[in-house]
Amino acid sequence: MDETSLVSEPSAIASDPHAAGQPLRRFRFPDGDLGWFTTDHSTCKAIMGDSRFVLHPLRPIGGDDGGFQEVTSGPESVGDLLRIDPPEHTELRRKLTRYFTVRQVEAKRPTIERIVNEQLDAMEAAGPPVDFVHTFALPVASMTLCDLLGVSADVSENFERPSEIISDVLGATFAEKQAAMADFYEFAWSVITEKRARPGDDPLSDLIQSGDLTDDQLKGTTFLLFAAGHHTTATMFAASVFFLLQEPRRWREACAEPPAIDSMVEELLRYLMTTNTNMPRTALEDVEVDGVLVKKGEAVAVVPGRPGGDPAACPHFREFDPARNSRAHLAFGHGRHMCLGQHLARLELQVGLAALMRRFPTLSLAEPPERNAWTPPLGSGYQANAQIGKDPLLVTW
Amino acid sequence: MASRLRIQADREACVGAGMCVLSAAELFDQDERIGRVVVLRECPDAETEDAARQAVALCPSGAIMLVEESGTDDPRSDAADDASGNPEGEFDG
Repeated sequence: MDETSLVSEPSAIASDPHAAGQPLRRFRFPDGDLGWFTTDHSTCKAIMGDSRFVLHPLRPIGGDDGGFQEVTSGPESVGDLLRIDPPEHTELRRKLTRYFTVRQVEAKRPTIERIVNEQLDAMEAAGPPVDFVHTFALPVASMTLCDLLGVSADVSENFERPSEIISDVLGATFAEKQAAMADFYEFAWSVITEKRARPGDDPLSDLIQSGDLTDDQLKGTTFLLFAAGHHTTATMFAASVFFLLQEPRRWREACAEPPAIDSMVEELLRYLMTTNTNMPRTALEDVEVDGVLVKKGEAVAVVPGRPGGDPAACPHFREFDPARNSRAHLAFGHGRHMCLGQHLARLELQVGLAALMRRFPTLSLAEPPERNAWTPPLGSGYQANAQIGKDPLLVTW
Repeated sequence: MASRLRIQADREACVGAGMCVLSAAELFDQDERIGRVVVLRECPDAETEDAARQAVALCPSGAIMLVEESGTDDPRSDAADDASGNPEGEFDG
């Protein structure tokens, strides 16, 4: 094998994910194992959807993982949908899907509208300027989640803070992340204890009452739902608003002639691709993918490129087109691990962004983009998720 | 003979993601217990054909298929065709 063709620096590929060439490239993982790397849309989709690929054994794909995978993998991970394979995964996910169907999520619309309006009022009261992250993005995502999971909004700090720390790839030390995870599980356990004593009508109470899950599984599930259920959506709110305000005409045009909001949100998801689980898929048997033989036991780093979608099937691929009306992207992944909360995320973004545009048609960045304290780290697609964190996103009107 | 499309849904493969409902709410629903696909209408017409194809493309588990069948408009031959394993109404496990 020609060693010069071996890629070891994912950002070299991810920085130009749609360059012509083989969709599957030879790749040496940071742990030394030889495998593959792909940013090609069709290849990513095929592998994610192929039941001959599994998550185990999990490993980082980039050297600057910051210990995220390690710190979020422990005994409780038996309950974390993003850390298990069939049959356990299938069984656990089936217990949760009924809370996240299109219909169930749509029933949350009045609640989300109320939460959004409250935060718009809070923005008006506090500014201009205001920190969009902590006045809107985070609270809307967190309070929607608290409502779904049947906990008081007062407990938000108990999952927001540890989530921020474990996602702070370079800023938080490994020890700090470990402490944050311990805090997170302590919080999870307090929720479980409370719901055991006083069950509510929510997914966690349901799981507890079923008696089917061990305590570790309950902790793992609670962790995943709280972490993945707020952080990703808050990030999309902030990244979307930053993006739309970066070029003021985008915001102006959207406000003057509102596009179909579901199409706009879908295009923001496709264009920004803010979330990547960075979980490689390992072949259970020899599998041919795009003319390449992935041998049993080999892992493929699957990192959908940005913008998302298939350049061959997506006209004006690099253009942000809010009227595109296409869901053919991998912002929520594909296959059995496709985001459980995707419809909730969509609804929050649709309600939230539409209301924001109506309330603040003259919204703008308080500082020029290059001087903004917060910018989404959307550099290379393989890195830790674009994320909100300590830095404010100051907006004015 | 008219050819037409028939939806086939593999309920075992279904992971309850609901992309089919998002793509074509007139053709698909999710059951209340575990969110599995329910086919509301087996045969998309000209208006819903695109939406049906979208559902096939976006289904994360490949559980939805569109099968092209040729048949007459005779309802009796439709009934015979119904041994296609339409899983509608099978709320197993």
